[in-house]
Amino acid sequence: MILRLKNLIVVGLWLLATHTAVQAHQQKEAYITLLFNERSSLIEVSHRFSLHDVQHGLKSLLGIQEDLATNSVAQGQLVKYIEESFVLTDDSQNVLKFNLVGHEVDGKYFWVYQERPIPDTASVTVKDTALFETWPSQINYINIEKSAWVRSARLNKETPSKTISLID
Amino acid sequence: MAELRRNQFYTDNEIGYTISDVVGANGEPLEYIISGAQMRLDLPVALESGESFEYSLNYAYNILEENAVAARSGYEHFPDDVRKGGNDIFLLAQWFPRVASYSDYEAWHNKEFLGRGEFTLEFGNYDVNITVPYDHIVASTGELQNPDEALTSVQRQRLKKAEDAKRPVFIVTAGEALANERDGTNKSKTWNFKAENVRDFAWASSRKFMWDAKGHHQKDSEQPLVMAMSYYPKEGGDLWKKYSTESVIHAMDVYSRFTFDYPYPVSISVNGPVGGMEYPMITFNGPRTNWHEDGSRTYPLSEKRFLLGVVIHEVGHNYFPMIVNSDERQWTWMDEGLNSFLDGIAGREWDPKIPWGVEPNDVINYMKSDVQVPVMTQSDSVLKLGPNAYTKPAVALNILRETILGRELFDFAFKEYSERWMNKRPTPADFFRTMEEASGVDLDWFWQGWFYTTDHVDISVDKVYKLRLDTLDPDVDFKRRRQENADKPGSIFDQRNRTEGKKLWVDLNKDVSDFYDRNDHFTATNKERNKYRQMLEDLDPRERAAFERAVKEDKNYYVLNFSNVGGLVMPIILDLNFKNGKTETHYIPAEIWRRSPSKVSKMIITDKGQELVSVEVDPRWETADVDVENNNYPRLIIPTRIEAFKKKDKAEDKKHPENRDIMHDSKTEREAPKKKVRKK
Ligand SMILES: [Zn+2]
Repeated sequence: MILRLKNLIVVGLWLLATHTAVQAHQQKEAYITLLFNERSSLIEVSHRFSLHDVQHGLKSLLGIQEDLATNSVAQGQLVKYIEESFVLTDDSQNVLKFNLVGHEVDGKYFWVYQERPIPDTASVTVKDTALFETWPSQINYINIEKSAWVRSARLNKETPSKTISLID
Repeated sequence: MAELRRNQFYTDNEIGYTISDVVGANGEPLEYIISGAQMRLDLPVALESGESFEYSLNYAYNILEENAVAARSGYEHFPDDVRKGGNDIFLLAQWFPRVASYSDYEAWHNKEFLGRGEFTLEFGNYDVNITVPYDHIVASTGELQNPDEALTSVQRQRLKKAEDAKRPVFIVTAGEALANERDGTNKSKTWNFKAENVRDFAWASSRKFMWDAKGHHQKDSEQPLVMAMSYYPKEGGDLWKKYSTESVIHAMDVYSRFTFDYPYPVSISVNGPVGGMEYPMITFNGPRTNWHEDGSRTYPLSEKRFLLGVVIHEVGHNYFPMIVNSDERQWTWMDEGLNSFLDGIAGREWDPKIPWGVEPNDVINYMKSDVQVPVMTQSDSVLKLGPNAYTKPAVALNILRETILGRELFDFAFKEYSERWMNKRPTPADFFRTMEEASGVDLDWFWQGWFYTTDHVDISVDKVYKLRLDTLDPDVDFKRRRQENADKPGSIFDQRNRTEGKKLWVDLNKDVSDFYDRNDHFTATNKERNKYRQMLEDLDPRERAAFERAVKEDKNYYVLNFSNVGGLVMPIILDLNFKNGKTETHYIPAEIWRRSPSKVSKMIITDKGQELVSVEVDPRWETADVDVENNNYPRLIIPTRIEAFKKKDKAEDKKHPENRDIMHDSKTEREAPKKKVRKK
């Protein structure tokens, strides 16, 4: 067996090397947390994007190249885009509307906050297509957090939505 | 749109290699078969250990348009340049068929390239002739062998001057590059590069490149001078002029301290269409400036941070995996994780005010989710490479250094690993083992939790209760118990009766009383006193001394109950806050969980005056604990992120001078104040 193996030289040939994710430092991922706040009876949604990612996303999607770290007009455009990319529906396919709480730049992240009363539903379907047009490799991570558990979804271009049970 | 463009590129172009003339040293044809992205060459005679075999082949392929297919190399076209037909930047990597690896743990490595798991490569020597248009500047792995032919005498002089310069010196200036990209040429020129003992070879070529260089001096090293160099078009602008070469040098400075001296003669950063990619001695980095109508170029803050971060990161890959030659296709984390850990150190030594994203807190959103695979998963099967192969192992190593081993033990062990596996092929076990051997600390539990599971850190302090040592002396203990009883809230019925002025039978009939009215049930008797004295008499002298000392000291005994909600075993870092305003930090090693991984108790003994009022787990957020709500006893109401945001004084933010866009705002023209129209 071993001798036979020594008879071969294997050559890596066709390194077209197309890739989806690897380039260092470009995160191409966002975290969206839906926190069921039992103290206030609100669902609080925090969208966390890498500032560098959305800066490029804004340029390629909306042609805006103002500095997101400081320019409030650019921030406003981005907030609108992030709000529109996120859709939550209840178990009867009703779209659950959110109020915008605000946004902020914190460290290397751009945050958008929304809230609404906790709805009466056994499950939610969460859809978030933010930045899918910018990079095919964008992944939007959803964490639904109740006091007893965290349930998650990885949304990408192929699977932009997922239904998650809210039953404890 | 991006996907359409990619598909169209595949339709319009022939992709992959064509191979021909596969022959042995004497020109004899060799048997081979091509299967997918791999080719098997059958040797005429089996090779014994130490023997060699010579063969040659011809190949050709079309260079990819990077922006169409998003590859780790390729060309970028600039149609808007002044020159008719525009110009290009060529980044060449994976440009020749590479010999597969043969290792002692896998034999031939047969995992095909699927797009994510990078490369498993062997070391080799290269002698490469690159013929390009005469006005192109070539950046390459290796050392230039024919500077007299490839460079002008002015360029050679400038290179010499750059060796000892304080700041980068231009070898090709912005003006010269602009002239090159305007004019073009029909002539060509050959550049010859040689590189020894490298696992790969890459290069870049363009007439758009300006080129700067600065010598990096390594004291008492086999490689005393390294030329740090950057190649970039006008689109790179000031961002590149100021920061690229300096970041290259900073990376080598910091990484070498943690590992070994940089062993190559050059370290290069090239701007092109690839966002960030590493090869021996040469890195491709994507950040650019934005062009404005007025002809100026600026860049947002995030792009500056991206440039610093990506150049440091890609240059850092020279150490892992170019020299410490781990198997990227199997274990991405072995180079990306270690490299992200070190780029976090280099970044924070550049400027800690820049958020580099490698603090424990940066990984908790990922770690608490229920869609994960362990870090040890094979590269192509990892669900999300960024947090899994970069951030999580980097944060783990950060915690190992700062919280578990301490810097002295960690840094010695990490250097030992780097030096021991320099120019060799380590597996994860080699890393784990060396870190333990060289620190002298068993870390099996740590590797298990962080690298082999998807558990997260969530330690809860469930309960704290106080114990008090009874003196056993009935006169003392009964008195104390009487007081405790009196301190309890009395019956509400009794209180209300008293308020209403109800008269009690016993008060109205004091002439009728007995022994029990004079002695309550906390009264000590001689029976107990005798028993106590007999007990003392029966103690042996050592026991009696210990007992008497404990009674005299009258310390506080607290039992703290913890549960491991997240599953990942970690040390418990505790702040104990006392009534007298003092705080003590305790470190309970992770071994506390060894027999009871989900629930443990710990007794804490404090001096008489040190009365505990509250405890907090992981007060400085060192361990990536995902839920801080259960970190306090008694529990606190911790505002959620959004609740905290609502409370923040927004006006405060504006006062921070660094939050203004000075680069853009300073271009504002002076204007006279507008007259306010007042209604009459
Ligand atoms: Zn990397």
